[in-house]
Amino acid sequence: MKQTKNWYRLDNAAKIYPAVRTRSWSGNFRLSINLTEEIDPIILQQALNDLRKRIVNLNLELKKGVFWYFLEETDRPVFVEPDKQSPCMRIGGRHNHDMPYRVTYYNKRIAIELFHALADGTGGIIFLKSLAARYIHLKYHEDISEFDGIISCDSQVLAEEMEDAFKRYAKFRTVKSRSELKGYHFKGTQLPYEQTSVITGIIPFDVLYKKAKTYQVTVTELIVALMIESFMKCQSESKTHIEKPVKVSVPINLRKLYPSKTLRNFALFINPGIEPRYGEFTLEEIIEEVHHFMRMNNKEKYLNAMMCKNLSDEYNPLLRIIPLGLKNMAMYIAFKKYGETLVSSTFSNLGRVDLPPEMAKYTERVEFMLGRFMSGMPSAAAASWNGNLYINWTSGFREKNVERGFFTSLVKMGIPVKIESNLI
Amino acid sequence: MSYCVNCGVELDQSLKHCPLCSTPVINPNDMKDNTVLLPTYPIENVSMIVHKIRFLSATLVSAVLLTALILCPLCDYIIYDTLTWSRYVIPSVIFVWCCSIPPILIRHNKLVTSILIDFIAIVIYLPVMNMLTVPDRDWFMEIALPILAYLFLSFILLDFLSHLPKKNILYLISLGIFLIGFLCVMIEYVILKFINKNIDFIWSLPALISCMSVAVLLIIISRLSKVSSVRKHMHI
Repeated sequence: MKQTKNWYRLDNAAKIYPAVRTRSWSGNFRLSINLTEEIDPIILQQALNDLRKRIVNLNLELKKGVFWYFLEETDRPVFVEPDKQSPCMRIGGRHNHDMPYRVTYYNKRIAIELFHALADGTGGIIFLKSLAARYIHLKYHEDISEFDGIISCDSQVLAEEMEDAFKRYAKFRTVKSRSELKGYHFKGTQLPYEQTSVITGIIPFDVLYKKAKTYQVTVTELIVALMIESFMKCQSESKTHIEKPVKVSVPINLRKLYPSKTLRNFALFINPGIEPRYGEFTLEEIIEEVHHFMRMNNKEKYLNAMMCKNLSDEYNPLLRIIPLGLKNMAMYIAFKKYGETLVSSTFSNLGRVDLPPEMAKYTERVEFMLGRFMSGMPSAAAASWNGNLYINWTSGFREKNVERGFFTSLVKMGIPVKIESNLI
Repeated sequence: MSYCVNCGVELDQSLKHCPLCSTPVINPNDMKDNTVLLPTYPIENVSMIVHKIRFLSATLVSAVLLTALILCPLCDYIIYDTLTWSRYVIPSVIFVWCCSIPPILIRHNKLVTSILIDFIAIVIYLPVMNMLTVPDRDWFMEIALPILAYLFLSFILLDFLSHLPKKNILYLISLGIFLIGFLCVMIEYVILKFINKNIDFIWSLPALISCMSVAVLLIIISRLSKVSSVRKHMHI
């Protein structure tokens, strides 16, 4: 008798991504780790194969149902690939079927690129750390102890890892409206769709932290404020007749509010920003606005209401009975209305990455990067490791006005910045 | 280590120019150093990939058209022992190829280039069709060519004006509407001349008058919006 394969519904945040992906674009992100020596692809392949026996998420492929997409277990092999000049290109299709992730290597770097339907940044960093831990174990025979955020290949699978935490923790007291004004969008010359520009800024974390403390804000708040300032400069230089609000979307990891161990999506976005029509804002004023907005909105009750709004759409009986093709169209329209159009950019901060000492001695750096957005708008993601903050700007535009404004502001503050790029 | 003189950021040694402002990196110390540095990301020739995709698309379109070009006369000949309807297919297929392939293959293709190619193709295609259909009446020279030339020149004019630095969108739209009105008159004139009738405009003059009225109205609106006293009295 044919054995039925295990399958999982997509979580609430994941549902939108397969619906809005196109032939050339899908919502991806990337996590990478640089080791001290060149990567051996054969050992990396072995490490991935071992890890896939333990982590259920890495054995799932995306499938189409009549009404919804779903994830189904597969024993299809996944091969590690050499890295590309433009990271985070569309995942899925002819080469890797519909596996929602890929593992790449280049020189000393191991990278995992994930389709957002599978996991969020927190889930992704657990995959990367576990993969790197297995690789180091196989190559250097290091016995990596149990450590927070590393899944050992010998450990037991927890049911909680695959749970849809949104459904578990939504309280349905009330729902929060999504209506917001459209944000300013930077315009420029679009790069071809198979090209993404990446600019990495390496910043000493303690210098940045001290600077943030002088303003009595967090590092994330300071970075978001600098991003908003840079976008505002671009908007005023573009001489548009009607100035639009400049907003930066910041994902909030809900695992800090709810005790979930899910490896799937469990994050929501809040959009701090500035309304330039009220007048010119100084950097201090922007920092203050961002700080208070983040403190005000990063509260369990508000976030839960936001979560409930998203779930209420999913539970809508009319939407549920619509066939997938029509639903995709409806979701595409909703994405255009409430997705990228509301904000000018996104900043995702993974925070400090902790590694056990057995791994740390072989690790040079850890990076986090968002894939190119559908509109090509510049966006940033950061992770810090070993005293440095690595901030990656990805963009689909040739012009680098936003990135330049951001980094030069840091330099003017007295914070040294080292720049790397994939566009030589 | 090198710094960008423009942005003040330190640059990775593999970079040849600042990725933020494109300023070239010139470090005299690095010139003496002959060590080859690995770039942060593998280098791929993306333009080559794009060109390959273009070439593939062009080959595919050509293959489809070539199939039609071979099969149609063959089928026609097998059935009728001579070329009947397929005589029209052959120039049509060549015309479609001329219109579709250059826009795929030309890099940084401009709209003017495409239109020019299409114009040349149609100017060659229509006389052939004229010869094949009614060889005793030269409808190409009398009707098609004047209209095509007018459309082509109108487009060139509008495209040139739209690329001027101080362009006025309302002026451009009004000019476009005026040209449409004049096109109507021209179409009626060439048709009447072709059928040897008296030049008595019936439908094109009302069309021209309507178009001119709208065009003049748009010019007036465009002029009025610049006069501050009108703004003062007419503000809503």
